[in-house]
Amino acid sequence: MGLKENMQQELVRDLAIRDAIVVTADSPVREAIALMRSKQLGCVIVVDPHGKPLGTFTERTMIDVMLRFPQEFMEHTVGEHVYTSAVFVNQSDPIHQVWDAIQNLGHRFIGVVDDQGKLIGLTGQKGISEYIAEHCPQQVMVQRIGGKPGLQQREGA
Amino acid sequence: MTKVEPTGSGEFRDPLENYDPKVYDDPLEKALAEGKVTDIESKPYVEIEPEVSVFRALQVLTGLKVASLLVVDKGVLVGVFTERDALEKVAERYHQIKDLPVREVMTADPVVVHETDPPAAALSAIAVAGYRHVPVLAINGRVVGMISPRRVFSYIDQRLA
Repeated sequence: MGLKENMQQELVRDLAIRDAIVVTADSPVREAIALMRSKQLGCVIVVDPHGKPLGTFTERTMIDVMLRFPQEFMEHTVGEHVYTSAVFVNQSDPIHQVWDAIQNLGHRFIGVVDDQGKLIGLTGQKGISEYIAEHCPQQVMVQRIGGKPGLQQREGA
Repeated sequence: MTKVEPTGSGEFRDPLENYDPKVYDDPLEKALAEGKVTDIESKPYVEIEPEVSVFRALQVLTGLKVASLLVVDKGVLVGVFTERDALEKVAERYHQIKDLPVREVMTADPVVVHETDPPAAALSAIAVAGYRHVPVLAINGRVVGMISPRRVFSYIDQRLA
């Protein structure tokens, strides 16, 4: 079966789903940055007091805030800068919904929720790239990364 | 004229006579294995010099809405400066280092792919090795492009059966 059919039939729960970093909207940017650094993750999910996702605060947002408010950006709340157009998919949705959000909407991070709308994790470009690599292991897993360039033409006859 | 005969007993056998090139059922697998990295769109990309300030590099990132910059010194790639570098090395020390040269906080000697590599090498660098921004170098070492996950996905999207 081809990759396209697989993405239509297999479910988001089959992707690599990372634990999301969750903060409330009144958390300071300082805390979000410290958490992103400690978890080596480029975004936090911002939730309301009931745990419902409101959006994301990402590395890109952080740089923008840092340049606009250089003196006090650490003390701003993430709620002041939350990206509310973030995409969330259900873990029972087909994988192609994640693919579409990345390809058509340009999103890097996609939140994953359960049937009750509760956040259960994070996927996105990383999850999809690993999924494709697993689809084509004989091509992708054998590559030697960081080596010398190959020959432009074959040696010999 | 001297005639050269195969040595040993019996007739000459080509050791590759039973070799059959791999046949792919999936056109995507064939493209990943037998295409070239240069089949993936790798432009535009943004270069800066290593002496540019961290502050200016951040301005370029946000102003051009890109996630990475190639740090190039006299035509030679010496590093990349990415959003992740900004998070890991800049954010919590912003006031102390914003005027330092970007070479102080860039990722030096980044993993690269070469234009003769197959597209699978770029996907491997991203999916297996975990690099989001992979410079593409020509045989002579000059930068010819930058590959990101979205660019690889666009390449794959065009080849989905």
